[in-house]
Amino acid sequence: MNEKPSKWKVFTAGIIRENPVLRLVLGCCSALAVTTTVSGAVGMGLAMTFVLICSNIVISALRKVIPAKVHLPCYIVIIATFVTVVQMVLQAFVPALYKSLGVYLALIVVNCIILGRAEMFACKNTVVDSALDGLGMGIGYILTMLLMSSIREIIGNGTWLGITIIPDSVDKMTVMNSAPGGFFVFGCLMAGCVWLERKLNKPIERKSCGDVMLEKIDAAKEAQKGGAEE
Amino acid sequence: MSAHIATFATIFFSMILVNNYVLVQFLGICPFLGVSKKLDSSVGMGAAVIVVMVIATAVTFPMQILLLDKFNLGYLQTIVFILVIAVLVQLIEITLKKYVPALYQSLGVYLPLITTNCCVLGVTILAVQDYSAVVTEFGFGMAYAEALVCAAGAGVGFLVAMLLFCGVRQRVEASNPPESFKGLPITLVSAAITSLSFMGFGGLVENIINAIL
Amino acid sequence: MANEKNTENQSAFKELVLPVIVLVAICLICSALLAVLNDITAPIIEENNRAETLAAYVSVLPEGTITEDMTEVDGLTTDGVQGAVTTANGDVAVKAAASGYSGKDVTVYVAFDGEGAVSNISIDASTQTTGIGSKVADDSFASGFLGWNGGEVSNGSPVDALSGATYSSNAVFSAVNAAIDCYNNEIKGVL
Repeated sequence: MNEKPSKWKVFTAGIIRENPVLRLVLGCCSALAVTTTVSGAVGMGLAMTFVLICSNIVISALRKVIPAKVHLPCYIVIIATFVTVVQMVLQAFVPALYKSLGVYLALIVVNCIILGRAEMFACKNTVVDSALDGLGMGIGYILTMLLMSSIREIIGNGTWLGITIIPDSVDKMTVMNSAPGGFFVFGCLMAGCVWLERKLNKPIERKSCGDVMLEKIDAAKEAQKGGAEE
Repeated sequence: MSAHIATFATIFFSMILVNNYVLVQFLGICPFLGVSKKLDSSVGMGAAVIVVMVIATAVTFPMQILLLDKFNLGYLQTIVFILVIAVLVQLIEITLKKYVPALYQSLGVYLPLITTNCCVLGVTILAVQDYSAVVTEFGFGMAYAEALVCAAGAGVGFLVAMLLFCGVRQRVEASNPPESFKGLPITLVSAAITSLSFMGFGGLVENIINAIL
Repeated sequence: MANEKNTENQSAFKELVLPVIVLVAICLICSALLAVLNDITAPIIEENNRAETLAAYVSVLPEGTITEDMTEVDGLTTDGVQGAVTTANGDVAVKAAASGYSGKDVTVYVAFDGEGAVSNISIDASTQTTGIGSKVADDSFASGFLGWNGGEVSNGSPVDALSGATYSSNAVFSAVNAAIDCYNNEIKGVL
């Protein structure tokens, strides 16, 4: 990190190299839940991108003002504000999308992509870089969502963005529309991603936020044990 | 009375089996995929989630009905709820540390990780969504009780999913999947199969409860 | 000495007071922003909801009905009924809902002609499982209710529940029953 990465690199990082869903394994909840239809997935992607860019900008602008002690509550309030803005705007102007996204729209607040980027990037970088990072991450997220929802909608419902692809006479695999299909498609996509990485000889170690959580738990337990022995 | 028990039982078991937060509604996937590697951590996390979910719902539900809705501030829901959860988690931590150190020993580690867990925010928002209509129909007390039962069910459902998957995972880890599937991909595929088994519960709970009571 | 104390005070201020001030300030600014936005969007949202309901009524009432022809009926008490409109021609449309699979509502709009027969029906099952429960909204299921004026509906009369979607089908039956009850008891005799 001695050299400052160029703006272009910051922007493109999120699309492939640090794709939030498939490589950083962030934001799985929404990626699994709203990818039953392409329109819902893209809508969610756009909402997420908006919140990501705005919160990145504000947080990086305020990075010198926010005291370290209360940084998490501050970030959460800022993110929640933008999420509420998105909720209101969608409800007013795109009510159908608002309905189909349901509670997952509000849950953008706790989506690890946004909080993760705030803590990993925005609080250390300039406003412009943070905005670009948000945009790149957002596009990466949208593309992944688009891919996943296309697979699920075509196989599960025979349509793509509502256009019939598979004729009605063919039975669809409706399981793709429900929870198991989500896990399955996500697993297979990630396996495909791993396969590609191996082909290109650039394997990475995937660490989901859950793995990080487990590490924190283990560390805290160690500390507790140490304290008890003293 | 038995009608109430039937309602509560239906809500509770539906939350565990039919609407399981992790396996059916995709809430709280992060801890599910990460923490379920170890059995003791799964139990601790699950227990902490149950406690926080019930207490968070107990605070946010009346807040929404008696405060936000009354003063037409419904749009502040997201901000207020997430802040309340953050504060509550801190308070629970402090209280446990001071008064129930034994419990703090076992749960304290997990509490700070729960603040930004989407299943806690999810249960508070969904409880308001699903049970605020009950307020007008059966009064606040009944709606409050139903929301609390729902939160408890959601928490237990989380714990059940973690425990089940922990077992599944140990078997998966001993197997030898194709190279590309190793690690997270095979975990996700086995989560798909676990979730598939939960689909079989659809419609079952209501019928069983009605048959028993 | 005094200087030392001063810095100590300062650090206490930085440690304790400043974080609180910043957090409160951010909260206030955010809430103010949202309040302004809410003022702008709330009327639009309400208008949307109204327009949506009215459009759904129009879609089930005989062709040529426009929103201006309808009068809303107030004070309905039948369980599950959410509203109703009447037109000058004696047509009635009732909106009713019942909980389907996993407790989520299935909403129906039922239109009655002057004789009390079901002249049209529209079913909103968007809350149900796509491809399974959502099929109760299909024409092949819904059209079975047309012309029905024989009292309570149930599985088999006049339509069979969809196999695999018992819960969603039952929700439609109860919602239609609510609409029929409401029509018979609260609208037919009164108007």
